[in-house]
Amino acid sequence: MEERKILFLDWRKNNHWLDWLKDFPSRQIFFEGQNPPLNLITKNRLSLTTAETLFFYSLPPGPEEGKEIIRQVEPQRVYLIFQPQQEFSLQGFLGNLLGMVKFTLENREGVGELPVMSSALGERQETVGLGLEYLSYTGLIDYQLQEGKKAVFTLVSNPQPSLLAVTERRIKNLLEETKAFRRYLQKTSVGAIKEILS
Amino acid sequence: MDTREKLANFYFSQSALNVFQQCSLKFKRKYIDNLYWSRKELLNPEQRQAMEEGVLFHLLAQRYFSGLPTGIEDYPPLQVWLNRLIGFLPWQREKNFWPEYQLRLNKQGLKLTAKYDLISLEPEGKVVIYDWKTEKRKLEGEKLALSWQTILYRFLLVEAGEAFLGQPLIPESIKMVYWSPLYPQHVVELAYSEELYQQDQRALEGLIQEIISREEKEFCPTSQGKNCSSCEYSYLCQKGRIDYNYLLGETDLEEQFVWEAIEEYPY
Repeated sequence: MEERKILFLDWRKNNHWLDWLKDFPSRQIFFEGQNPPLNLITKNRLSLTTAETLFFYSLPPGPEEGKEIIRQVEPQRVYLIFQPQQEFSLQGFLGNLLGMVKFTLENREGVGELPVMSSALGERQETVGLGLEYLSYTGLIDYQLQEGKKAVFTLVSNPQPSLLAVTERRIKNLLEETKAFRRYLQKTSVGAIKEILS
Repeated sequence: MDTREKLANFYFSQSALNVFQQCSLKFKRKYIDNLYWSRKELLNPEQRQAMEEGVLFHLLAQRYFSGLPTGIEDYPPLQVWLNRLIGFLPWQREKNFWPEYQLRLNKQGLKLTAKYDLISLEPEGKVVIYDWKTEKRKLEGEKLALSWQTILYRFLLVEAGEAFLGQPLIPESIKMVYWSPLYPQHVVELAYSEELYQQDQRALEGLIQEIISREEKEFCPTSQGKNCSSCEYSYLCQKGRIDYNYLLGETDLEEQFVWEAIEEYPY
């Protein structure tokens, strides 16, 4: 089967992008993370649908997530806006994840989906998985995974302090990896981005 | 007048073609939006002086090849450069020199313009285009041969030659010469041919077609950041900046999480 050709266009320094977006009726705008763009309907990695044009408003957390986004949309043109976005410190990431677990327990009968949580944080699913492991080792929460992605949270106390340090290091590495990937996307050539995301 | 109309009436110079290749957004700002901003602000005093000397040298050369007094006494630092120019190409009354000569072409929608430092009509119908370079770097023949200046200048002279000379001009009769008063012995001479002329025509038509068929929104900033540091419009462009300062080192992380104190994170 012939490989579909996708045109990648660089809008990273285009300060008119907001005006120009209006000219693209068949479009999907990918956004995840904090500070969503005002007055624009955006989609996260789970809600994207096929469209002629895909705009990366925010940066995907990793190459696989980026490729998956493009696979879902099947665009002919990909516009790279790549707005700078918040980067989590380890503490910030785990604090938000714990807040998310708290919200799940209070509002969703303790049942959360890892892909949904990852998307809401704009992070890789692997990082979220490790974050939950870490939080369980602290003894604050516990959870059971179903089918690898559905988590059922409970408030129990079963701390495993000996595993904290190594898990902390692994999360930190993944967060750094995501930051490095996003910084690279912000400064590298369109050709290189196309290679990575296609 | 919208972008398409402006471009339809636009005469492409070598500078405009170079700017477009550097950054299409810069092209738009300069030639469509007409934001003519001085690059002087970006230059340090030494660069600024070099630029002013270059402009003055072109003025002196124009006067010299027009058979006028050069007025060099007002610019003593450029005496050496002028002497070198006179040594390289002495003015002769019987020769046809056309300094600072501008040609414009409008042929089936192909609109081109060039201002030649000097066109010299030689015996046997030969024509030499001279271009003075005053940058502090040695001329690179290969680079110049592929430059939009060479492509445009030679092609335009062939196209406009008949009106200019009163008879058709074949490419083989044209030569382009780059010369620098800083490196007077290092002359770059570029001959022309029918084959090159055909190539140049395709290159010019292709690039200009690409430019004039663009919608306004398709003039996007370059991804080559190195061009931005010397661009007078760079501070108009959106620069992504990330504040990395809040990446704090953590100690005893787990002790910082108190369930009661944690805010819910709706999603």
